[in-house]
Amino acid sequence: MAVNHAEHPPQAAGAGGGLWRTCAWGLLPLVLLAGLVYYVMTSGENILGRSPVSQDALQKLEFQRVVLRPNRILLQAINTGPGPVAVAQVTVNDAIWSFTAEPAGEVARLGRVRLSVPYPWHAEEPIRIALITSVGMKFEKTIEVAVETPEMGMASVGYFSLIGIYVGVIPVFLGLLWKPFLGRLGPGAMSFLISFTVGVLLALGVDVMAEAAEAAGRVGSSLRGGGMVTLGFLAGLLVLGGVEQSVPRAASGEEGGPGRKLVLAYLISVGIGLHNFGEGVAIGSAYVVGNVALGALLIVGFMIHNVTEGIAIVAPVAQRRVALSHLAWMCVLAGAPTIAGAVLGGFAYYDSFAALFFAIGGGAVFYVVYQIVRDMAQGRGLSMITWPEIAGLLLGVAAMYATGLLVAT
Amino acid sequence: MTDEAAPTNADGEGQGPRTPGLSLNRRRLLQGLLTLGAGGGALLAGAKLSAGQASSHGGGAGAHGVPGNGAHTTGHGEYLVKDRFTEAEVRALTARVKPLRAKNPMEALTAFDRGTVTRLADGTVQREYVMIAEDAEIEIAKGVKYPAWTYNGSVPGPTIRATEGDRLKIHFFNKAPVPHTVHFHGIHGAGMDGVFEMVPPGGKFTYEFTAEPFGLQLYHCHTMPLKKHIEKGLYGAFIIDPKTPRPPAKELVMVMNGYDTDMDGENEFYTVNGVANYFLDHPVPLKAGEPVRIYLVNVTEFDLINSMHIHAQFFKLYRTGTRLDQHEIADTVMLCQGERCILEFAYNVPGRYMFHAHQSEFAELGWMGFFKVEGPPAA
Repeated sequence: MAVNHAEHPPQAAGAGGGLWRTCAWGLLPLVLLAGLVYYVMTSGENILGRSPVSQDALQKLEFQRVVLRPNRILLQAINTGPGPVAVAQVTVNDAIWSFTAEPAGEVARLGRVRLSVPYPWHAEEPIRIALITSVGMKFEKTIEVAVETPEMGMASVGYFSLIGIYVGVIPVFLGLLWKPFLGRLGPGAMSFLISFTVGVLLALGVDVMAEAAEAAGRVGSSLRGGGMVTLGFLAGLLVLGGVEQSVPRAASGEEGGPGRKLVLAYLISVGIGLHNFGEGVAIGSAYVVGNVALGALLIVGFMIHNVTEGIAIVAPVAQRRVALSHLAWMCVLAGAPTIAGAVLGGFAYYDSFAALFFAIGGGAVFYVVYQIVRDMAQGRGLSMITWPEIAGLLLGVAAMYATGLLVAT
Repeated sequence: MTDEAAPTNADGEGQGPRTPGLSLNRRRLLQGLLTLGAGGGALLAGAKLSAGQASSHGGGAGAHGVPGNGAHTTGHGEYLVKDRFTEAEVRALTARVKPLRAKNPMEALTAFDRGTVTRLADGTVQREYVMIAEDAEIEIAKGVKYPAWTYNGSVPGPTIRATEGDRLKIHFFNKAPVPHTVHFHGIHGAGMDGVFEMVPPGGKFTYEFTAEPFGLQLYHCHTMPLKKHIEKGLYGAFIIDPKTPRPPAKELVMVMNGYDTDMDGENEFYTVNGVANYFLDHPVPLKAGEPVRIYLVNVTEFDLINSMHIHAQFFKLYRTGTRLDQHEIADTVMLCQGERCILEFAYNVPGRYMFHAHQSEFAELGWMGFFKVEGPPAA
């Protein structure tokens, strides 16, 4: 590996045999790292001594999913501890209960175990399940209100779709219907409206990021919930950036021009759509895990909450003619993801994915906020805030806060 | 037996707060008393500290002095017990005095260590026993291994049995990595009480006393922290028969206990004779009409009480077994921690009969079993 710099001046590195040399230098640290990893893994105790704490004491099982069927509880848990774990006993509400495990016996680190417990649970009562491992460690999960988990089927897909339509599509559609009204408000109202939109989006963005952080907190530490949030946030930004880039120059027109307003309206639709996807996941899963009795009241709450989203979408184009087909597309882009989210959340909820989806929604929404504010600031220098804008911003946030109370669970 | 208060006074310091916020709700009795999750090193240090304090605190137990055996300490963290054993010595002794170890709860029902008997010059019967404290991994429920602290490798430890008036010599060796003692319930001198004479790892001590009074007693380790040393498995039954034996019967020892496997100060499992639900899978065989005598001991830690209920029959209940002429008639008995009693009954109709703690929660966490009564129905 010794290199004689006198014979091979640095500028030769790029060409011919130099390419190999470059590669070799690039790979050298990796090779050494791999060797070191191998050495530590195979004979770590020789170098570092025995760990002062045995792997048994650090065992960790995390519940990923609980499915309730009549007279049966199905569980999935993941081993996030440093060593293997075997579930030896299961108790339900402090009673030893029979069970079957798949796989039976030990589960390696990050391996999953599925358990089936024939327990005659009672609807609408809490269930406390504990897994006791072969070394006596105990991991508990409480289901606050037991509700049978819906089975994947046309009927339940239809049910969750209907929820999605009610809380996502219909309110956005109703909000869009304000366009003629907004168009008549006169030019002075425009800056108020746009600020209102920004306020709505900011409230949504903060809300969904808080949800992302919450879901990430429930994810086991070893599954890196925080990483999921960062990844999702960036993905949300990039998706929206990509959407904007893909709009043909001709269609978008010059900055601040008429086409640009339409693009902005579409961006808001997509951003809100991504947010609503996360919202759908949350609603669907809340129903499944029994945290919410999803009654008409909650549906009504979401409808009122989401009407403001329609206003937000239509604000940039309120005072110009827009083809109905455009409005229909915006409605679909913003509202339809709620359906998909509700179905997904209803059948396959995982905190890790929820954190990801929430963060994607957050990233998308903040991207849109950035775009709108950039447009607003065009040619204005730093002092961009006017009284109508301040009012709009605050009212937008306040509207989301007030209607948000209706969906508080 | 009121001797239990003294060591707490002497050793309270360095062991964490004593029973703050004592609440009686269900299984959370003494939660918060001690953080038991500390590593072995900390435990060892704590135990050494306590041994030192027992002897060095003015007005503490050590200052009162403990007679005999050269077991006094000079204070300053040294153990009272100085004697060390050698493996050869233990081998030689166990060749003569075999330590008893029941291999499973069924064996523990009827395994009695009556000791190695010799006659003293005055005609008194002397019984010698060997008890060895050692760590052992035991299976306490199907698939659940527990790192127990044991006497002779099992939980509960051997059932020590003697007749009132016998001279007892219990040779105790500590092969465990932390100090232990054997504290026998019974009547004896302070120096034989297994409280102050902490036997360090590698140490030995011989408990010598006369078996009295007759009844059902028990023994357990009395090293601080007490809860830990008991919960980990250092206990067993100690039967002192009256000079005139009780009427013949099928005699069974049942030691009720619990295990706190995740060290949260609550029991995860409850058992009789050490393994949860063992007698559900292995019913206790009885014969119809055969008199049965159960020696029932409660050494459940953390929970205030435990109980036993037998189905479809009533028993004569002799509390602590110290009187032959007084009994109650009952089908359920409640015992405080450390309390015990003798039950006598017979089943006349063959079949399976359940017995269990009448705290349903304990029953469903492992304290449940069957009698399987066979043979022709008795009159």
